[in-house]
Amino acid sequence: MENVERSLLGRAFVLNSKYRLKFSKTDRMRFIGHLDLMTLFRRSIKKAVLPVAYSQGFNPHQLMSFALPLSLGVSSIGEYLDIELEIEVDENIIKDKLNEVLPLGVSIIDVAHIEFSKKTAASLLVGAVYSVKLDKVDNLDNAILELLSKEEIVVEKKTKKGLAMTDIRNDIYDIKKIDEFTIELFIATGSQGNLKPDVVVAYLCQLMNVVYDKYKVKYERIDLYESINGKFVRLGDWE
Amino acid sequence: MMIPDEILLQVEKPARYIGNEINMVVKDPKSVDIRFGFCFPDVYEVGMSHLGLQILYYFLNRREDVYCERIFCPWTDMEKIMREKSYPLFSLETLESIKSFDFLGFTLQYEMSYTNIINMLDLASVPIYSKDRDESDPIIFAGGPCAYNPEPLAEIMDFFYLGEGEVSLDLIMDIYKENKAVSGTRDTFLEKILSVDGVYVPKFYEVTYKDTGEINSFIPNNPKAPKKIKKVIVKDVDKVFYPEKQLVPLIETIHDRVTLEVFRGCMRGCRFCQAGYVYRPVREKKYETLIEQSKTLIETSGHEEISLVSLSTGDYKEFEKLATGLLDEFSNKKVSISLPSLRIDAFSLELMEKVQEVRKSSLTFAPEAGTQRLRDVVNKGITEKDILDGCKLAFSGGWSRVKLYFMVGLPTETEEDILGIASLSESIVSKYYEMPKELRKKPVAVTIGSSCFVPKPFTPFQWFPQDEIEIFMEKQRMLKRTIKSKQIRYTYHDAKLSVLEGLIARGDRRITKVIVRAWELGARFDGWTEHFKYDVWVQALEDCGIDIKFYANRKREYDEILPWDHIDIGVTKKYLINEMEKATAEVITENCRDFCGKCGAQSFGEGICVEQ
Repeated sequence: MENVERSLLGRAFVLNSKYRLKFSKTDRMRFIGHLDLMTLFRRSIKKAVLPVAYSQGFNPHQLMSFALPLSLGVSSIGEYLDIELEIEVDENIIKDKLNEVLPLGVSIIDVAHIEFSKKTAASLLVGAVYSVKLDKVDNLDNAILELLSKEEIVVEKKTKKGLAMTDIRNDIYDIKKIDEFTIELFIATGSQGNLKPDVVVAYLCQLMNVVYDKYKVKYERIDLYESINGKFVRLGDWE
Repeated sequence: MMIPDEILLQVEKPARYIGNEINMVVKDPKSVDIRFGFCFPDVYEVGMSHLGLQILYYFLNRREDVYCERIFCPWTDMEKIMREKSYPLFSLETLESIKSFDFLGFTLQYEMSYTNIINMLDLASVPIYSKDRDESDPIIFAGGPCAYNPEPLAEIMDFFYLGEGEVSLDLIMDIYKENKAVSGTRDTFLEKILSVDGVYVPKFYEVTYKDTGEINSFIPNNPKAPKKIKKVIVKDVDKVFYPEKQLVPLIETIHDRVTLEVFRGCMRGCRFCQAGYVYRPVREKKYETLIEQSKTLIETSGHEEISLVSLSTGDYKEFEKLATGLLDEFSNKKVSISLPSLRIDAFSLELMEKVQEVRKSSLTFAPEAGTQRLRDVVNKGITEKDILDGCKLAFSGGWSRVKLYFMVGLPTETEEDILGIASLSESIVSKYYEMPKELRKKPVAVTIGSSCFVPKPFTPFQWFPQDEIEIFMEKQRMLKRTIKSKQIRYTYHDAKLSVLEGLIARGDRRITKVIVRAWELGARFDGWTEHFKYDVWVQALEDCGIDIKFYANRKREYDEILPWDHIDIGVTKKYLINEMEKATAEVITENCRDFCGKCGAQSFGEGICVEQ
């Protein structure tokens, strides 16, 4: 029997099956926050009657971990969630059953069975790509070039201790112009460095000399990345 | 979506305005004959926890010809933007304006929500007063516990529904459809529903007043209007429609769990409690029905907790069997059971341990009064021995937190009764320290909450003058001074809010303008401490020339015509008078199961009244 290990006492226990789910969060569902999204998944997994594994101890909770919280208001077509099931279930069944119960706006895109020993998505994370639809632009191409040419970009950033002046240049991997009002940002996230897209956009607007209206600019997270042998690879590009 | 993103991003909890919850009903509005708006006059999180909404939402939506959608009161930040940018009030299912709906049904859960009702009508561009509406407006009606005294809203609502929704709503919908098909008007519809049980149409009744202010007469002005309107109740609570699904919100609400109704009514007859009289008789669901319903609701919702909801769940005849049955059903499904406040005895302790309510939670008691004498007056059966024995048992089991609920301002109350609250609490603290030191792992924490008694219609105390604000405050101060132990925490309710509640609870048609004026001056969410503006109400009372004392603080005579006398809840006035007399004599009344006092509810011929 695979996946069975024997403890020192000779009792057999079976390892749980781990799955990485890629999902989208769009439309009206942009307006629920991360904690509420977690509750939504907990309930949906229960409703779908998936054999989810629970933690031990006084307050057992579903073994589930998200790659990266998504800010309220931001949509996404590239979110990731790891779950552990007590038994093996076909990936398509997991996908279909969850999609049956999830509300409009949250949808499972793909499911992959991953090695139990594989690290969590959250710990592998190094970068995120955001598509940003700007409200006002002025010489966008130049502004992007200017930003990328800078060796150092010091801005006020909120840290645990309060506000601090930080150099964020190294956390900005790339910026691409997609069309007149749309850009794509590839920025650091996860354990390496955590940069929020609005900090970059605010700075870019400063360079363009336009007002940054945080309520009018639209953000969508496109995908999340890990680093394998020095190369950026999408979390969903399963081996 | 009507409200643009940029607005939703600016308000608190934008998810209040997006709908799209699990189990939300989706229909094509063009495919139905009746668009019905269920309006809950409070914020989303409060309304979504209301069991009545859950039941009626699915009840109405089971009809193919009706689409029932939900509308809650926008929070103050959203209201401001809606007014600035002229966004009309909208429903959550279709995000459409509700002005063109056929019905807007409001649930009257508590008196201080009335300014929110007016606010919602105004935001929907519906004229506030019934007489000002025309064929383009929805029919506006109200039901719920406060509807038993409909008069403060009688000039605002087109009609009232007295009783349980499952009984006559279908007929009302049918009559509406028929009326519409023959191009009938609002007026013809309102006249047609006069024949429906439980329906009260205020415009067909005239009120006159004496010079001294009391009601002189209250009579129909239409031959079809019944002199008295009897509430309607569901006869068979096992067979009546009960939803198989529950709306599961996307954000945290007050009750994030399956709420399962165990029975309707209450047999205790506590004399201050309106719910105990207006929901009679007790009708219990069968054990099998409850287990079935609990399973279905858990399956369709994905909730991790189930709670039992009734006025006094512990009185359910087969409570032990039910609690054990639910535990057996759910303990290995990772669904926890949330228990209501129970009498503390060996069984309930064992139960609480199983349910792992855990010593984290507190024990709750509602003695309501500080002395046995006053408890007998209000017919609250709990004794000091019950409380202290229960605490002793629980403390030795590891509990260290106790919550006690009291009221100040009860009839025949004296200083001794107020001091009794303090001494009872101190006794509990002493009880804790009687335990051997090893068992006392934490210090004990006793919390006392005192609310201000508001006499309610259809209770034996409905003739009783409420305490004035200053008196309430003095009593609260006295209690505060008397509490010595550091382990006792005392919180109290706002007396000003309670007296205003008293104004509305026993108000008549003349106070409608006060509520409207208060709203005009900015009153909203009066039940919320951070939004309650007492000065606005004082101004409104002055502007309208209404003396709050006439309504709240005046002793009424037994022969006075009360504003709610035209409503029949089953329990008779004769019985209530008798209960008031017994109260003054400090004589208790037994519960319905032990002894039938022939209160009048037996006229329905149902439930506990006909139990063997």
